[in-house]
Amino acid sequence: METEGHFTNDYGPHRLSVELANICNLHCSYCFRSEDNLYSHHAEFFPLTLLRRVIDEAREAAQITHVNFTGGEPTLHPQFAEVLETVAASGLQASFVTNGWHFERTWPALLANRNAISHVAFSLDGTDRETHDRWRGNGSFERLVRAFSRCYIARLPFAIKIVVRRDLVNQLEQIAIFAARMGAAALNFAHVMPTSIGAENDLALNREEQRAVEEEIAILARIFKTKIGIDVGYYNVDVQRAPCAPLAGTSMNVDYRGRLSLCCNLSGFRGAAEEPDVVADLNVESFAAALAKLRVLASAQLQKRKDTLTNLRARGTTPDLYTGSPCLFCLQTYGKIPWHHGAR
Amino acid sequence: MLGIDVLDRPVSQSFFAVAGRLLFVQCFDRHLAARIERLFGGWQLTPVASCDLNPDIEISFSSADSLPVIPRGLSEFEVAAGGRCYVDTDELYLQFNNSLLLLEHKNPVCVSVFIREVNDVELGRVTSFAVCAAMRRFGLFELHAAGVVVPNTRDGVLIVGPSGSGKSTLTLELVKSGWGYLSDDELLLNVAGEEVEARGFRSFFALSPASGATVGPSRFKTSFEPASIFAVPAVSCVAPRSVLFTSISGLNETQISALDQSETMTRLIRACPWATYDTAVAGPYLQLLSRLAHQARGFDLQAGTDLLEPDRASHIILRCVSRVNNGD
Repeated sequence: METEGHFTNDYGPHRLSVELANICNLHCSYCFRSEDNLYSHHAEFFPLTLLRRVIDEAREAAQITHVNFTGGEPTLHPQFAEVLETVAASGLQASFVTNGWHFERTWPALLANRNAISHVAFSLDGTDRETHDRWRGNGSFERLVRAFSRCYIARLPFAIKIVVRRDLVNQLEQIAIFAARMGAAALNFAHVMPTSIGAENDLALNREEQRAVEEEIAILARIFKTKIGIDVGYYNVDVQRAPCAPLAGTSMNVDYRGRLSLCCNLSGFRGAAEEPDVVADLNVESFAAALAKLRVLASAQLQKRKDTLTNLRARGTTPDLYTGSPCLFCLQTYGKIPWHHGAR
Repeated sequence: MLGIDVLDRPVSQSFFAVAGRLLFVQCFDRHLAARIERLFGGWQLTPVASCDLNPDIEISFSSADSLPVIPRGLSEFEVAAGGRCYVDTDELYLQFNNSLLLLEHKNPVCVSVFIREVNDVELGRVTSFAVCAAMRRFGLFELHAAGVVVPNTRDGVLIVGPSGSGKSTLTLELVKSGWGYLSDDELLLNVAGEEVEARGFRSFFALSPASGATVGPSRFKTSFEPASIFAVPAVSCVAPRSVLFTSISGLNETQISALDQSETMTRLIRACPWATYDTAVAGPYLQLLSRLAHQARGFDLQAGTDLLEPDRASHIILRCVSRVNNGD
């Protein structure tokens, strides 16, 4: 969900990722958020009062300069304008990830808080109406392109995020051209986060396929003026440095219930058996106290990953995808993918 | 307050009750009054002759040579049917070509509708918006859907789809086969206890000649009161157990497939744009929809021409919703 530069050491600003709503207006089969959260009979919205307090405390305790909003679909929050105003009033920068369906409606709030918005990230599923709408429903592509135009004309930087499903492997260059033509400031590819055996088999790439995709993305990144990268989750067995912003301590997640957790990718993961990544309920605990717990958790996870990779290297064993990918490593070790057994 | 001249004496004043709420409607223009009266007569609101209680909602209709000016600085966005909405925390404006609606969050909720010369379509639209916007403030949320009731049960079936998707035709076919009905086009939803309830809003049935449905004399093809034709009584309120999302396939055979809860929720949100447009009530509106998606089983129904065969629609839909009731 978050945007981090690939092939660099840049994990972005110290930031908070906040899930504004648990529900979504679209139904994408590969979404990694729990269906029970997205479509349960308890639609929940992050309370403004809690948001104000968490931002104040996180700025003090974690020196955050940025708040990124996710969901569910964050623009479904009934007080989305007030949410942006809250960030603007705190002097921080805001961004959010959206499917673009309700962008026209949220546009006035964006304009009113323009100076506080660093960028908007849109989720894309294909470079033409047919492909995109097949995953996101009729009318979705048209709304998305209209949203791109809005941003481009108003000079509001926007990123396009696209998950590299198996059917998109041969379209990476086409996607890059599309993003450049739309005027996107950035294009972020991401590997599929597997939520079931079916999703893994049908949509996700194996290690060799991922490697080829990553090489192609690296080439595109050199060619295009648009900033092109891949979100963390790619195969990375470097043990000298943290593989992602959450483990590096620059990014923290608060779920829609107000609970502090390690990473927005792990939060409310579909089919998860456990939630060891959740460290505290900010409704009843201060951010500083919760952050101390999160740092212990991140440090332990970082060490676990380091030990695992070091041991494999000592035995001359090449780490499999679920060990080499930091996202898959966390999913596996935190009990998020109980269906997964063995190497791939 | 808006700077326009408004007559100080209403031409007509009426009280209506709906779902325990009292609605007060007044009109300040003689010609407009008759048209407004006809519109309200088409909704399932219970007229109240005299009333000592304070209304929850006041709706006023005025004619104006020019529409009031909308204050600057409000958030604005486009809505369906060419309208434009302007909102802040206390007010909501909705503007069409020749009409303007102002909703103020007061007690009672006040809705002022200003009308330039408008056709019946726009008048109907802005009036419907006025009533629905006010009722949302009291937990009554509109759904563009037909509602029927499985024979000999209290199980509601909602038929959701855009205009022209066959809602009225399917409803009519089911009613002809003895199903109870709420409405063929507009419903109001509310939460009662732990359940979502649906009640009819528009009382008459409207069928386009292109629908191919025939119900007696041809004059009934456009608009009619179902109670005047069918022995089946209208039902005031049911708990929906199934939601059918309809479209016309153009094929001979009807196709029905079950939707999971998430897809049902997704489609409900899309069917209810005001669940996100009307930010003051978006939270409870979305919560109601997610509760409905949990309570009722969703189906995708691609309607074929076989639904027009006698009792065929009833047979197909009954078989579909019976699976729900049997827990399949």
